[in-house]
Amino acid sequence: MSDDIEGLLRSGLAERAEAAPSFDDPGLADLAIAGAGRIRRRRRVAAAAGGAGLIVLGAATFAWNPLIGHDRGDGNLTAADTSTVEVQNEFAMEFLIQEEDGSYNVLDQNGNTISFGVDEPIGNVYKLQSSYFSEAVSDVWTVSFDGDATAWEKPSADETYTRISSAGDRFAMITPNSDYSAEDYELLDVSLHEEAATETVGFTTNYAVTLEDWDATTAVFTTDLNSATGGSAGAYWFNDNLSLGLETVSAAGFEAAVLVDTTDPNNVCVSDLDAVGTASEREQCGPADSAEIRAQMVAAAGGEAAADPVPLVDTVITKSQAEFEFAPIEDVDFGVYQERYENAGEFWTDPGGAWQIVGNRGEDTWLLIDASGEEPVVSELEPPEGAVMPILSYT
Amino acid sequence: MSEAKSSQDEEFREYVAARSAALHRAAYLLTGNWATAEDLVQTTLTKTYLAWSRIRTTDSVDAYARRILYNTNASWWRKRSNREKPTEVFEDKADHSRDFTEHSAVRDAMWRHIAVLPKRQRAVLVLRYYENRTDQQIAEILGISVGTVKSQASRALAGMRKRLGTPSAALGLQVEQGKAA
Repeated sequence: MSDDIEGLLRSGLAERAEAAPSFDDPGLADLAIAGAGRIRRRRRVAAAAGGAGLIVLGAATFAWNPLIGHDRGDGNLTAADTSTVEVQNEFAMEFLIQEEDGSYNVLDQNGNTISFGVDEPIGNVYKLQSSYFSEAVSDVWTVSFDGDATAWEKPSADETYTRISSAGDRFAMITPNSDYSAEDYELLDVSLHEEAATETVGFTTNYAVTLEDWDATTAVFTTDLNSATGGSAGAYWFNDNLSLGLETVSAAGFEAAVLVDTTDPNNVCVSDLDAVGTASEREQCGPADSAEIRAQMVAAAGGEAAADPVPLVDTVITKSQAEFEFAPIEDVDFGVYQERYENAGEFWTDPGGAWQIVGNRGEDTWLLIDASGEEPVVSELEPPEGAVMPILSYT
Repeated sequence: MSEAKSSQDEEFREYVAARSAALHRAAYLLTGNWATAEDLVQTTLTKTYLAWSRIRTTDSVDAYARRILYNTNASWWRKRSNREKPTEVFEDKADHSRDFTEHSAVRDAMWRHIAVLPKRQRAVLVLRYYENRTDQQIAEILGISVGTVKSQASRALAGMRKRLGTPSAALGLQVEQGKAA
């Protein structure tokens, strides 16, 4: 029936879209040009007026001192625009810059430029523990901090996607098979960059499970457990019955696999792997915050000699529970910036959760949501000239 | 107006003439409402023009515009999703090409189901089954993880399966086994 439903969706959505009335408005482009002109004029006027924007508070407290202008006595604090230098100092923020000749550079937190000689990035640029990381259409690129670029060919230009471990020391290239029943994972240690090595470890798991995070011993996946367990603790045979492929995770050298439920992320199952190709016969499932399950996670990962897997799992659970990628957004009242937020096309989120920048490539200013204090604060950031995007750092 | 700007504007007009219909179709599937779809496309084109001088020479102009379309739609509901109830009934203009066969009735049932889906699930379905995007591309566009894309799609499909069952069940034509005369 799934195929029937999916086929119905493909044909039904296409049919519905084709039945739409013809939109042949010759004035559409000119309206957009005029709208863009108004936006630019408003920004120039605001900048000429001193750039002071009303600070918008989720609560009564305003907590980022470098932004505070003065208290006018009416309880409303004002904030100056945020400069590039301020975010370099406060957040160690770095930017990808496009030069006039079309080449790219990184402007680092100290104001130095680093050559970023890669194909045009199709997504975000990340800073990992020992290199920068970006994706082009056919390759994944790592660029060392002295500008030495290495390309890693994607198994499939169309289908391969990437994931970075939360520690920023490894990344994975993930490629689904042709019928989307399984995914091949290639895991690369970014320290390999300097050796230009091609050594990778990998595994193949059922498409129903998704690798969310991992370290040297533990791999954490999300999947649907609830349909089978209903949230009840106990032993289950997920890998055996559903051919999840956890034995290949074991063969890749992992000691433990933890499955986090997508419906109730606190419901997890632990598989004790042997790191040489065998998964446990059964998975032990239960609440992640229970002493029993936590002890099983630690034991499966190799005991006290191994890195504690609990924080790794807790990070995945927290992210899975969040309604939004950038959780503080729920508490932000954008006030005068509401329209700009709603009209933004790009959302760059700090992996550490300290800030989010929203805007569009090529704009003179972006909105900065600073979540490093007690309350999130919005201000207008003036990025450096030629800035394409902020770099998202795992360091 | 400078010659260069005039040339850029003309290129933009050509792009809009070539692609606005496709953007409108995707916007309608996302919003279920012609007026909102038009607003969404207008906003998308305005934002695309703001970046035009930078993106016009690349091969990815349309990809950029589509990303903006979906991101804008997502940002419209990100801040409102907790307070907004799903649309009960999609605005449904008369479709004179439609014949009232079982085939179209099943699709109508499907469309009604899509209308009441949470917006994130609806966006995932449109991106996956209309735009034929990969789950990773969907994740990037909507700013969610691949795991969330999979789970949202899975929930949407499960809901449709439950509601529609088989096409005949969707029409109320299914006869329970053992009860047939």
